[in-house]
Amino acid sequence: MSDHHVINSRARRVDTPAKATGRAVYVDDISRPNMLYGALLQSPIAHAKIISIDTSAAEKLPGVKCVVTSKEAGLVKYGVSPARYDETVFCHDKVRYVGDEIAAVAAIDRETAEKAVELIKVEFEPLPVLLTIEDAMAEDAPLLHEKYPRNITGEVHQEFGDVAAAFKECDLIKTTTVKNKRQDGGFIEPQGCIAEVDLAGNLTLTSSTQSPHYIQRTVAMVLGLDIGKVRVVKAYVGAGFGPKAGTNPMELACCLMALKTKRPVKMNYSREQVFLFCRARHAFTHKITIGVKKDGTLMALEHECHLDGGAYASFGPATVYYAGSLLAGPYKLPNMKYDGYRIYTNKPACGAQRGHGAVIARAAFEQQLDMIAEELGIDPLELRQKNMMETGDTTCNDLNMSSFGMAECLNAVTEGSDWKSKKGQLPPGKGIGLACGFFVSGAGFPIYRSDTYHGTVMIKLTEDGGTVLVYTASAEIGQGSDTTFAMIAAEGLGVPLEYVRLASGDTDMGVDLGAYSSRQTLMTGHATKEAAEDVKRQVLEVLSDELDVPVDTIDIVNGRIVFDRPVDFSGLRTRYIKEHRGWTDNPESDYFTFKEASRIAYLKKGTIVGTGKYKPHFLGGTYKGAAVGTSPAYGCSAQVAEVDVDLETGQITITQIVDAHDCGKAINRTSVEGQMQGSISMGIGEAMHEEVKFDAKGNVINNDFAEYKMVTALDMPPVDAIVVETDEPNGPYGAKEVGEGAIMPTIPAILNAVYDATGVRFYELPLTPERVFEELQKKKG
Amino acid sequence: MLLPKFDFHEPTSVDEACEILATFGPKAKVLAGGTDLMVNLKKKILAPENLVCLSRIDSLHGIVEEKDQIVIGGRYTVAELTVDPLVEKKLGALRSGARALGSPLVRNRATIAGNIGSARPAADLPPSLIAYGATVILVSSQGKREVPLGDFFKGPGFTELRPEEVLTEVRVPVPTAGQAPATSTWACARPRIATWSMWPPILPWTRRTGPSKPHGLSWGRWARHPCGPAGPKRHWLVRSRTRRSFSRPEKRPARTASPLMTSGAQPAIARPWWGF
Amino acid sequence: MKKLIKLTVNDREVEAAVEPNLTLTDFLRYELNLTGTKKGCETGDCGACTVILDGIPVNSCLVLAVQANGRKVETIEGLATEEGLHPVQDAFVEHGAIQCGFCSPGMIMSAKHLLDKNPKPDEGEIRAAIAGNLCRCTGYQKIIDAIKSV
Repeated sequence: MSDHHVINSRARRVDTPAKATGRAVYVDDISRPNMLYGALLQSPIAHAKIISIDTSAAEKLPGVKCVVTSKEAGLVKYGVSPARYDETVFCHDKVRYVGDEIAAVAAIDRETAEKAVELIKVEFEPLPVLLTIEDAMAEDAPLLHEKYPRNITGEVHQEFGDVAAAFKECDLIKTTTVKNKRQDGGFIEPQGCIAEVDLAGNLTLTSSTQSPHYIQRTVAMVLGLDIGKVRVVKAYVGAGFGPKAGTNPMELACCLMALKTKRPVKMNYSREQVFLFCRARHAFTHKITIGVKKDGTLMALEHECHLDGGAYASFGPATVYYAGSLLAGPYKLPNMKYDGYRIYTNKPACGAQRGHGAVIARAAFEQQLDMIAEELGIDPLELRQKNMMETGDTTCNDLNMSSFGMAECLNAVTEGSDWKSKKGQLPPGKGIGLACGFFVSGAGFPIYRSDTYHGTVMIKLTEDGGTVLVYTASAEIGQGSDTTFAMIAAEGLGVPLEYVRLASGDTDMGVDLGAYSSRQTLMTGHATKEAAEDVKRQVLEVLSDELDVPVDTIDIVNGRIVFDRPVDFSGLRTRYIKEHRGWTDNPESDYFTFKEASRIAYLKKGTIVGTGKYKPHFLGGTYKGAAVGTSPAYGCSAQVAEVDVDLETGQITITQIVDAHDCGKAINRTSVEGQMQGSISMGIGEAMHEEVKFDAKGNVINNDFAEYKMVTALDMPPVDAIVVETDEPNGPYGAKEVGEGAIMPTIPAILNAVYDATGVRFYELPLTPERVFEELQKKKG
Repeated sequence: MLLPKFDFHEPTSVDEACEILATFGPKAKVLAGGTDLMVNLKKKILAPENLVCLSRIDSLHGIVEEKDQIVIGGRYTVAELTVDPLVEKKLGALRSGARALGSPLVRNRATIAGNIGSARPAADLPPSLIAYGATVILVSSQGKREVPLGDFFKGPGFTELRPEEVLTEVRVPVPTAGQAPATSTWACARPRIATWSMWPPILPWTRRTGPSKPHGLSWGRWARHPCGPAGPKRHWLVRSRTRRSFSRPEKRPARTASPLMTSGAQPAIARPWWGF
Repeated sequence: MKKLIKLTVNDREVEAAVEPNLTLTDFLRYELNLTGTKKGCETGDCGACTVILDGIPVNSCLVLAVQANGRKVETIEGLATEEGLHPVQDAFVEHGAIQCGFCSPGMIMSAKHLLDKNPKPDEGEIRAAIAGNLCRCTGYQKIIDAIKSV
C-alpha cells in the first residue's frame, strides 16, 4: 500500500515484549547497593508563613543519613518558563498549598525515612487560604508570590483583526461560558527517581520523566553543578501526559541528598503525592463570543479565559497562551480577541496535560458552533465544512496549516457514523454529536529562549557490520516513540527494522527536548532521518570508491545493496568472508548485503557514525506571545459521538465514537490508532467523571483512584479510529502529530450528542448523573 | 505506602479467633478480605496492634440453605456470591448488588462479612440484605447473638459489632411467592464510576405488607427501599406518590423508582471519613 | 517479629522470613526481585499489582505476604516459557495493546485468568474481566482486540 518498506506499517513495537513479560525496568524496579530511601515533608496546610523548622529529632533518629531543608538546598528559583521561575526546592518563608515541600530525609530504609519526616517540627502562622479565582483576584487578597499582583501568574491580551468592527457586520452573535474541573494526569506509574554520584562527582539521576533534557538543566542550575557533570536517564516510564514534563522537587531533593551522602538515594511519590504534585489540567473558565453572518460565515471571536492555576507557575504561562491561540483554527476566523488570566491559588500547581491549554477552549467553541448552527438552521456539519481551513491557509495569528486534512476527516467520521441518516432522526434520549479540532506537532520554540536544536540523533553501525545503533535523548513514555524512530532509522537507511537497536532517554546521547507538545515524531523523527541518511551516504561513498561506480547509482533497499547496473562485488565479498573465518553465516546471496557493506565501510573509515539534528525554521508572527501555538505542522481531527441518555436518571452511556485524525504520514499505523483511542478515553474521563476535589482547607479529598474516577474498560465505548493521511511538507516522510490533537473533539462531540439526546446544553463539566439529572429536571420545569 | 507494625494472628477456628479478640479487645482488628482494612491501615486511619486474619477458618466459608433461610459464611467472597447458584436462584437482588461491587479484583477478595462489617455507606450488599430481612450472627467467647441487619448499622463505620466479636454468618430469609426482589445500582452499573453519586442502590420489594414489619422497619404500604450511599446511615424513602412505579418492579426498577429517589434521598457529600 | 512463610511462586518453592506488615506486592518485588508486578496505587484501585493467588486474580497490594503462606502465586514472570511469549502476551504485543506498559502485567494476568476459565469470551465478558485494571494509555480498545484474538 505504500512505497515504504518499514514505515507506514503495523510493525510490532520494539519495547512491548519486555513490557508484556514484566522485564521492562521502570524506576521503582531499580535498586542499587547501599541505597538510601528518601521521604518528603510536605505542608499539611494550604497557606502559611513558616516560623521555624526543627529537624533535630529527625537527625537523631538511628538510620537517618541526611535531612535537608531550604538551608541546605539554597533558594535558587526554578520552574518551567525562565520568565516565571517561582519555585525553590523547599519552602523557606511560606507554604502555598497542602503538599508544598518543606524538607526531605534520606535513611537506610523507607520506614525510617517516613518516621524521621514525622519528627520534623514546623511552626506555621496560617494565612488566608485562597481556593477560587474570585478570592485570589480580590483586591485585598494576600499574594501567594509577592511579584505577582492580584495573584495573576500571567495574562495575555491579543487582538487580531478588528473584532468590534466585525461584530457590527454579524447577523448573529452568541456568548456562552464553559467551565471544566481540574483533571489529574492519572498515569498509572507514580513518579520516582534514583540519584547517584560517582567517585569523580558525576551525578546521575534516573527518573520517570518526559524530558531528561529539561530536568538535566534544572538540576544543574538549582544545585549549582556543571551541566556536564549531570546526567539524566529515563527508565521505562509508566506514561506522563504532561505532568512529568517538568522537574519535580523530589528529583531535586533526591539529587541533593545523593550529593550529601555520597550514596544512591531512591524516592517515590505515593498515589496521594501524585495528586498533590499535580501539574495536570487546569480548571478553565472560558467566556466565548462568536459572531457569524446569516449564511454561517465565521466573522469574529471574542474570548476571555481564567485559569485556576494552583500555587506555582509550572507550564501555566504557556497554558494561558495556548488556551487562546489554538482557537484561531481549524476554521477560517479573520478576527480574534483574547484576554487570558492565569491565577495563583492555594492548591497544587496545574501544568500541561494532553491537549495543552486547548481542550476546554475547544469544547466551548465547538459547542457554541452547534448552537449557532441550530439558530441559523444549518446542519452543524455544513457549518463546519463551510468555514473549514484548508492546506496552505494561515490563521489570523500566523499559524500556518502546511497540510490539513480536515475535510477528509469530516467526511470519514460522518460516513463512518452514518451521520446523515442519524442527525435529527434519533428518538429522545439518543443523540449524535460532531466536533473538530487541531493541535501542534511540537512547539515552535523551546521552553527556555535558545537557539538549541530541538533534537539531535546519532546513529552508529556496529563495527562487525550489520547492526544499526540509534542513540536519541528522546523520551519513550508509552506513546511508541522508540519504535517510531527505529522505523524511521530503518527506512532512512534502507534496512529491515530488525537490524535496528535503539537506546533513548539519556542526556549523554544528545539533546532532545522530550515528550511534550506532540513534538517527537516530527522533530526527533527529522533528526533520526537525517542521521540515517548520513550513515547511508557514508556507506555508499565507501562502496562507490571500492567498486568504482558513481555513488548516486547505488542504494540500500531492505538490507540489500542495489546497483542500477551489473557490478562485480566478489572482491569485496571475499574480503568480508576472510574477515570472518570459521563463521557459519557467511553471505552467499546473489546480492551484496548491507552487513557486508557496513563492514567494508568500517574497514575503510573506522566506526561509521551519522548524526542528525532538527530545529524548526522561524515560525509565527512578531506579536507578544507569538511563540505559543506555532508549530512546524498541525494535526487535525474530527469525531462523532453517539450517546444514550436515561432521561429520568440522567445517566449517560456513550455508545460509540468514530474518530478520524490527520497525522500526515502514519509511521506506525497501530501506534497512531492507539494514540487516538487513548486520547478519546482521557477526553471521556474529563467529560464524564474526572474532577480533583478540594475541601475548604485546600486538601485534595479524592486523592486515590477509588474516588478519582477514571475510565475503565466498562465505560469505554467502541472506538472506530480512522487514520487520515496527508503529506506534511515539514514532517519526516510527511509525518506529524497524533498524540494530543485526537483529544480535542472528544468533549464537544459528547456535549453536542447529549444536547441532541436531551435538548439540554451543559456549560459545566463533568457530566455527572447529578448534574445531568438536575438540568433535565429544570427543563421539565 | 507502608503498613504499620502489628502482630499477626491466624486462628483456624472461630473459638480461637474469639479468644484472641477477647485478649486484645480494641487493640485487635479482624482481617477478612482486606479490601477496606488494608487501605485504612496504609492511609494510617487505623493502626491496630494485632490483626486477626480469618482466612484459615474454613467453617466461615460456605453457603447453605437451612429451612427457610440461606446461611452465608462470613468469609464467603463477593465474587462467590456473584456465581453461586443458590444466590442466583433465590437471592437475585443480593447477586445484583454483589455484581455491582467494586472491581473484579476487589470482588475476588472482599467478603460478605467485611462488606457489612466495615459499614461503608456505599457498600453494595447491605441494601438488598436489609430488604430481605437478613440478620447477622455475632460470636464472641461470651456467646452468640443474632442482630437484624437493619439495626446493625449505627453510622458510617459504626456498627453493633463489639471489638471482641466476629461476624460469622449472614442469615437471609428465603423470599416467598409474591415477593419480587430486585436491586438496582444507579449510575454505577459500571464498577468504580460515580458510586458516590446521589443515586443509591435500591431494592423495590413489591408486596402488600412485606414480611410484617420485620425488625421494626417498614415503609409505606408497598415496598421497602433500603438505600446504600444515600446518606450516612440507613435511609428510608418516605415520599412516594408513584404507586404505579412499583406495579411491575421486576421491569426497569431503576427508572420507575427515580422520582422517589430524588425526592427522598439525602445526597451524600464527599467526606473521606465516610469511606465512600 | 518475622514469620516464616513457604509458598509456591511461578511453580517454584519459596521460603522466606517476612515481617507481618509486608504486602505480597512488596515481597514479590523487593524480596524476590519479581518487579514485573507493579505498584500503581497501593490501595487496590488500579490493578497494576494483579497476581493470581490460588487460581484467583487479586490485587497483591491488599494481600499480606504472610497470607500467601502455603499458597500458590503466579506472576507475570511465570507466563513466558523458553519457547517464547505466552499467547496472551503475544497477542498484546501483536495488537498494540501495550503503550506505557505499566498496567500490562496486571492486565495480562487478568486476561489470562479469564481465558483460562472462558476460552471464547464475548466483548462484554472481556470488559468485565479487566474492569479492575486501569489503563490510561490505550482506551482499552486494542487490549480487548488482543484478548479476543487469543
